[in-house]
Amino acid sequence: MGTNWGSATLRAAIFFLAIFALSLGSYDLALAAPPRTPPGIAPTSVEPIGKDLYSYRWGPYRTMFAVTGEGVIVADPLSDEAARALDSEIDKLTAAPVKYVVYSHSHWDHAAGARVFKDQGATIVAQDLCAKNISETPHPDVLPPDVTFADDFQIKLGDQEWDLHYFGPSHSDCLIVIQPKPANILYLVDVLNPPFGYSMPWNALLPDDHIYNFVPFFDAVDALAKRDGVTQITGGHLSVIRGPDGKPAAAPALGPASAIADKRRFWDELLTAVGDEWAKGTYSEVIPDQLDLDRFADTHGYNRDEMWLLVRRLGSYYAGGR
Amino acid sequence: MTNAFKICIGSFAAALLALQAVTAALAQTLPFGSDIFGPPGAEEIGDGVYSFRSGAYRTMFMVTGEGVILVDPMGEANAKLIDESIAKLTDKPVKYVVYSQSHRDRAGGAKLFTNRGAKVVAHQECALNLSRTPFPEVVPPDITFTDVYSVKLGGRSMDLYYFGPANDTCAIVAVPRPGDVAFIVNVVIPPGASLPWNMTLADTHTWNIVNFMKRVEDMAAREGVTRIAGSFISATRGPNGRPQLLPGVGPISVVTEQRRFWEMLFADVKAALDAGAPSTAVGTKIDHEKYKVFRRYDEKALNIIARRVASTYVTGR
Repeated sequence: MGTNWGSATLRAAIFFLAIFALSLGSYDLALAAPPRTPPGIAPTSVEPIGKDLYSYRWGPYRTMFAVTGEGVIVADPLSDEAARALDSEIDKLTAAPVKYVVYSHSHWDHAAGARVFKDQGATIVAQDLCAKNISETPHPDVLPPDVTFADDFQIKLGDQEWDLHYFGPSHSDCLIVIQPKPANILYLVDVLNPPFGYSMPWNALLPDDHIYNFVPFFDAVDALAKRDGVTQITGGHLSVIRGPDGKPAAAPALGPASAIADKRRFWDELLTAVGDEWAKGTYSEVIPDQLDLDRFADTHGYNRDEMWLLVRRLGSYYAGGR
Repeated sequence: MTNAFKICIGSFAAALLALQAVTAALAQTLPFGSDIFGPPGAEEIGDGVYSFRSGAYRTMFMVTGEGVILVDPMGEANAKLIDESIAKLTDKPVKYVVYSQSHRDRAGGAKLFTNRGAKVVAHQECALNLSRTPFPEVVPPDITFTDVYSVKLGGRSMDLYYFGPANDTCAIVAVPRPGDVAFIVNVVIPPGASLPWNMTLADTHTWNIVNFMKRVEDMAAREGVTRIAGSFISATRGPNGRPQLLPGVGPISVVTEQRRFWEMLFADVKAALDAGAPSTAVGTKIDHEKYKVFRRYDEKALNIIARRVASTYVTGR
């Protein structure tokens, strides 16, 4: 089913090492503490991913920024401390200020920290519903957007163009796909993390995930990629792979766009399996024990307990519709 | 497979889950498809106000001189059973169907009543949800509202209150008037505070759950509501060791107890996170002993619920 990244055990171990790092780092970010990463992986990194386009990694999180002669465009600031560290990295590349900050979605662990850029005069851009979410669940480090949009939005600065696409609720109800040009890659946060396509979600409970739109969302992203000849994508998190020495290593920030279709296939196959079981009359709470979970053992990051939980969550989706 | 059979299986499975903490071994030996708590039916919980149970599900309806106001038809098969139950009490038709939320297992089945002229009332977010995730058995609402709405019939009313997202974005609290009982869907299950029915907290907006409870408490104090009716059964082991259904109605203080459960869990999860616990394992770092007083306590379930709460601290949602 999935890409071969070594034995299932090793892949699961690496996946959960990454999950562990994420779970540590994610709350640390809320506390503005230094990021933690698996042993052997640098705490932060800056990696070119296109013409004047860079991926910035802060522990287990990734964001990206573009440098132009007229200023800088930054995606998720991640946290107050991460944003200040990112600002220092930007200073090494240009004296120009950050002109735009673009939120991929409204979750605190990605949207926090824009103040350092706002103080430079940056305009914060997000999808309409992010503004509502931020007003409902405010956080002192999450600034409300200055500019919002419904479906599509374009930022032009210097020779960079960032196209922002909204394909409906997915992870949060305001997550967008960012397409920086001329690099012509896609930045996808939390719904997919390259290079892994056929893979477990970060959180099997799918908090604030809109399951009903998963497959249509990936269909729309895949159609966009095909329409525009996108061949590479980047994500919002560190992926951990096995390095040449056999030890855990950070995966490159860019991965193949084929992961989009692979992720779509993962959700389609798993949802179909759960839906078929539900259609037989199996009560949603019983489905995880009825379904042959090991049928999905080739999924990157597969762990039976996590799959049990994921299937339990998907059973609720069939029972309640959400 | 018929819907009735689905419900039969669902009822049995749900009953197993309801009992797992007290009678797991016994429940597993029960005949497949049996309804251990007897046939579906209604019990009067107020003047002309009835709690209807089918399997593990409960709902409520109010009989007036001019017709009936029904909350949640609970699916097509249950709607027929509810209709039969109502027919034993009155020859008046169901005039209004109120959706407590938009989930299909509760909102499904209203067509039986709308075909006879009933109007469907729901919070406006339910209309949005149902437009995004339409189901053939779920009728879109005819009447929507934002904060408060009063369905009036036969000199009585069913007062509907919206307190923000809870389980689903559009769950409401329904209060038949005159009367002192409030129907609350999914987030409180009388007769006592409990772990949530669904450990994954599917479509549950944890960020507003404490506030939701507070607003219910405020409304109850203001409006003289002293009891609550729930949307699921609770069960225990009877004196003879057999499963025994608990009342579907409890004191309003259950809401306060449920709020305290959430406040305690949020505080414990935050303390564990502050101490460096990974969000994925935060449940193993909290003291489970004090949660054992809550109905449906289960170690695994509490760990999973704590993990979901940790996500709220990380993402805000």
